[in-house]
Amino acid sequence: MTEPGLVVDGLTVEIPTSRGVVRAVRGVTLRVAPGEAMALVGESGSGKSMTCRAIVRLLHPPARITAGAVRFQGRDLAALSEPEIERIRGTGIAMVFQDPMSALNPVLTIERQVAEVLPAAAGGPRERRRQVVALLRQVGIADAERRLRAYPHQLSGGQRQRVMLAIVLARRPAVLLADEPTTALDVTIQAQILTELRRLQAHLGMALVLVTHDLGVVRRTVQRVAVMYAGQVVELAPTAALFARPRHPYTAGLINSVPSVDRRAALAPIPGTPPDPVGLGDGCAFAPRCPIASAECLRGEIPLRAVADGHWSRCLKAHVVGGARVAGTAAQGS
Amino acid sequence: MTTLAGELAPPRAARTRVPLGLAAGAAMLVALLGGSALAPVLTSYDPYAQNLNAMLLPPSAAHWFGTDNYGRDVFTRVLYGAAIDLRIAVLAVVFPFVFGVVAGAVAGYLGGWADAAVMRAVDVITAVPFMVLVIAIVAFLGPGELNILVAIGVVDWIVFARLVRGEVLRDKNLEYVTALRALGFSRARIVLRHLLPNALPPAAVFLASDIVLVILTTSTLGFLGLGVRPPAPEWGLMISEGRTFIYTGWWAAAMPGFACMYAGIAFILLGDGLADLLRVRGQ
Repeated sequence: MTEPGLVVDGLTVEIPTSRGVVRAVRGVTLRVAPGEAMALVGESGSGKSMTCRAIVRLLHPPARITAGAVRFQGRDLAALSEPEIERIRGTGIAMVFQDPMSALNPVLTIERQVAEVLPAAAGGPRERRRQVVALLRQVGIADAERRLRAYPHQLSGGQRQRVMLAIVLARRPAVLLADEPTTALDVTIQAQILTELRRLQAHLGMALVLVTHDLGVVRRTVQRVAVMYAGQVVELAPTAALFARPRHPYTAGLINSVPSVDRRAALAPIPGTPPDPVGLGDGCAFAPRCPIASAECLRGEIPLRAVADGHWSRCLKAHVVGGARVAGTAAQGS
Repeated sequence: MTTLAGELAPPRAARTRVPLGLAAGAAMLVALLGGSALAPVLTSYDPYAQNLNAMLLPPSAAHWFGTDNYGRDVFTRVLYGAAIDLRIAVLAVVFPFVFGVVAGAVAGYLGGWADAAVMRAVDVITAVPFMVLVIAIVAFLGPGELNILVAIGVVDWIVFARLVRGEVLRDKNLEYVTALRALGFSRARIVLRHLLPNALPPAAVFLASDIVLVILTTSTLGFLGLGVRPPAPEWGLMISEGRTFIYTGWWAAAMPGFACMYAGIAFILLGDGLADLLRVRGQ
């Protein structure tokens, strides 16, 4: 049976280092329905980008997939040869990157780089130029005609990210992986790009996986959230449910450490630092920083369990999570 | 152009100004090639005709560069010789350039066994000094223009391979290459359409100085009697023949020497100017 959309099943990525093997992604399982917008959230090093790169097989060696499958259009992407995965990339699953400064070829004009993704049968030069302009307009570049002959260094960061989007969207991918597409940009530009992304996603009926560490962005942009910690998905829930009542202490901590204009409560950063990725044990990786951890949390692998409809948590005490502080957050959440 | 675009684009003058070196080098080359092409018009002498009544005459109004030991006009022979030396130089670098650039790009991008194969070949050739290897190959194959081309072809490609491999290695892990891969572009397409264009400018700049090396190699081979056969007016050969009479007629050897120098300076200026031009563009 072929499942629609993208299914990531038990994906594991390991990086051999001089200190030992780093398990950057540990058995991540995700399901992205066609046309759905979801987010991967977590702090730096939690494995969100690594997961995306593994899906399209763009890991930088020596990082490699050691277990799991990525099912898409009836095939396991993790097992395809390089020429086969090349045919999936772009049109099947596309990816935009964090840094628009470096994602464009610095020595080619914008027109050439956008025109390159047009189908070969796109007509004569005049017709191709018209299509390039249309693509640039679609992503909100106002003076598109004038930008054609520009080089990437002549554009602002926001404009470059828009150009990247134009290039990626021109191939009409079924799934778009957006790896922190706005972190390198100003806040005002961030909002514009995300709105644009959201509009185009709905318009083109494409599935979106947004990698971010910005919970504000998550709340505005996606329907479902996967929270990652130390290479694992620790909580998976519809956006509203997650913000209303997080069922993992890490998620609760993340929400509480976001500054808010209308919340009077002091910021509550999560104590401690993320664990050493070398030699992670079986128990809950968050336990050393967790306010409600006990001895049993360190005993054995903790599975991802359903705590409500469509709401999954990798916490033994999911029912306890959500004290006063989190409740306060929830009040202004919805 | 509208005002806004005018402000956004870099100043036009700065972008299109031709570097002095490029202009000077090009002018010197055009003069040399023009002189060589128009040699039958510019001088009334025959480069091969001997005149035993006019042996080793010093430079004068009739013979600008003097005459050699057979009474041949040295200026005429230098002009005709330019055609030989420049032809060999340009032909000799075509194969090394093309092959070296492709081999370097493939080695750099694919890595692994492809890289190992190319770079071990490069190591082997690097282990023997350039001149020694060229002389050995020509000595083995026998003198003549074609064999010079073969010898230089075998030896000279390694510099381009190394240069382009370095450029490609540096670029292939840049984010934009990953972005291109994420778009589903094939490896061949990324190398040909994105990495090679970025690696070519430095290779093209080096090409200019490499031509100088080949001109000198060609005349060295001529000087050693391994190159073009007499009585062809090849510069190295002329220096070699004139050497015997260095005390009675220095011009017979010195003038073709100056010609070598002139051509060398022209190409070096050209390469230097080209580098300046590309550096401005690359910013």
